[in-house]
Amino acid sequence: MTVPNQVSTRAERGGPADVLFVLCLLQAGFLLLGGIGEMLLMGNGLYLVVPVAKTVLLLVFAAKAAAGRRWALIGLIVVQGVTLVGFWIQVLVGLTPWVDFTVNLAVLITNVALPAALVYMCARLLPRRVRVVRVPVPRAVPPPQDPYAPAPLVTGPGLSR
Amino acid sequence: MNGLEAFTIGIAPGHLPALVAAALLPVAVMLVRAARVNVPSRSVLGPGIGMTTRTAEAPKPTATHRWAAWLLGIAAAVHLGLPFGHLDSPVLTLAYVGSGTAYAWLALRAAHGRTWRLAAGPLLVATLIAYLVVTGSGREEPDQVGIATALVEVAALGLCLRPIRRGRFARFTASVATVAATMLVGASVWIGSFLAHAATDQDVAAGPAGAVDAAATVGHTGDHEHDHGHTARAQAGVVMRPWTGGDPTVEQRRAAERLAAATREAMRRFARLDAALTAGFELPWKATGMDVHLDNKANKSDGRVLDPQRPETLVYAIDGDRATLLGVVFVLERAGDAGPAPGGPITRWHAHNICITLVPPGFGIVTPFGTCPALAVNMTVPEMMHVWVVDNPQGPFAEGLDKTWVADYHALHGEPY
Repeated sequence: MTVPNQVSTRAERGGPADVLFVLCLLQAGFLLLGGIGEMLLMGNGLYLVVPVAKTVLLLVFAAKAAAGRRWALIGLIVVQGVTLVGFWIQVLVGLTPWVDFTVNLAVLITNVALPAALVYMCARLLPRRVRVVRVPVPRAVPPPQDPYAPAPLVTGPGLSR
Repeated sequence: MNGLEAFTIGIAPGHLPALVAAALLPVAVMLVRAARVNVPSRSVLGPGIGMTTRTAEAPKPTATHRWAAWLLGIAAAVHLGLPFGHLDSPVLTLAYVGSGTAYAWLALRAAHGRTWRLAAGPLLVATLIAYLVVTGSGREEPDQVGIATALVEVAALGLCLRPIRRGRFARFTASVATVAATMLVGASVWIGSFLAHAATDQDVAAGPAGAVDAAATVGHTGDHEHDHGHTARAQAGVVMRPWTGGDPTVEQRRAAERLAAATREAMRRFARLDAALTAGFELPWKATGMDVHLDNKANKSDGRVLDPQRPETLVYAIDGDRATLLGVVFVLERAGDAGPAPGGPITRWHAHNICITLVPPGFGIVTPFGTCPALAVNMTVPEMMHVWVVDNPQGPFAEGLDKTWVADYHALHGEPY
């Protein structure tokens, strides 16, 4: 029998789920800022659709992950994994002669450290599926006795041989 | 420039001690933990304050406490390290030491599971506002240490705002405030970096005399001078190499003048848009506006650098059936290569780090946090230099033109095509 557990920290205020949620809020801010910047540069509100959609997805995952949903934690791991893979793809693209990839402190924090921390936290928060095996509980048995041993003498008031 | 160069350029030399202090924080914490310094519980610092071993009555720190302790500790290390690069201002030094000490005290409280939010909230907001005012007013150019510290402080503020008790409205408000604070800080740093860049543009491009002033002071143009030099250290849309060669020499000024004159003379043949199109320059998909860039693929791969006869890109103002040639953009073939600077600080090259989005196709610029919108690739294009052939008030080597001025100029000088 398999029992899906809830995250033990669901009710724990100030626990890792809270930290995870706040870090996701920061990422939502980064996304919206980038989206608004592109929208202003391109002069078209269409460029805000994808960033807003990803922000909503991220916040739904974050909220549900904080509430202990396993699927949300897995979703967050996937989203952060894509960000981490994206960083290395950009590094590879930057090795070509036509374009470069500017790596600075902010890039390392937001594109590597933050997603890595979130993946780690999600993995730690993921409830393990516990396989419960019913094992027969042994009954309490009396200590072994020698069947050929003489019966104990019972003496007391009112008893006589 | 390679990755390591870009990384080091992003850090203002005056902020290096602060970065070192933050990097040494984990080492310091490990050493203190190893030493297990026992301070009496009823010390002058207050009950339980200081690196004491946890007593039975001390509350158990939660994950939020631990994260807050580290974030506030990093902020403390940075603030306490900053005076080593800002020795010239006693007021600023006092402010840094005061805020750093307060952060350190709050970090210790959080590390011991004690209350920290009530004092940390106002302190975080105050230091963030102070940073944004300083950068937004152009007194200090945003750099990577400043941006990273702001990020750390915003994260700490987010933890601070997260309500302890249940309550949907409180949680929603706190979440909105955290996202808004992140965006506000990012937008302010963005504006600050643009202002710093525009100020350099005006100083440098106006002429050699301005270039001398700009090369010496831009970056910290306020009451405290550092040898930062303007290098767009926020690296949020513009990436530049630092200029370490000092003031432009007489020969460099003459060389800059010769380059501008030669370019202006050579580009007379492209005064009409038709001539440019015939010569192989291609219109982009958005072919109208006050800064339409026409690339020439042949010139981009001809191996020539800074050749006034063969610029890689022409810039036109195109509106209706009239076009005005504004200038050229010299572009290097390989990303990361450095171009020649015959005019010294007057003829500086710059690159753009941009976000290429796939859905929908387009591009934006990298935020000060080094991020892009969703489904985008962050890349830095080869270095380039503008040379304007019109009488730009900001000079022939400014990186941009004032759109109002361009519109007026175009209305007077536009050629039909």
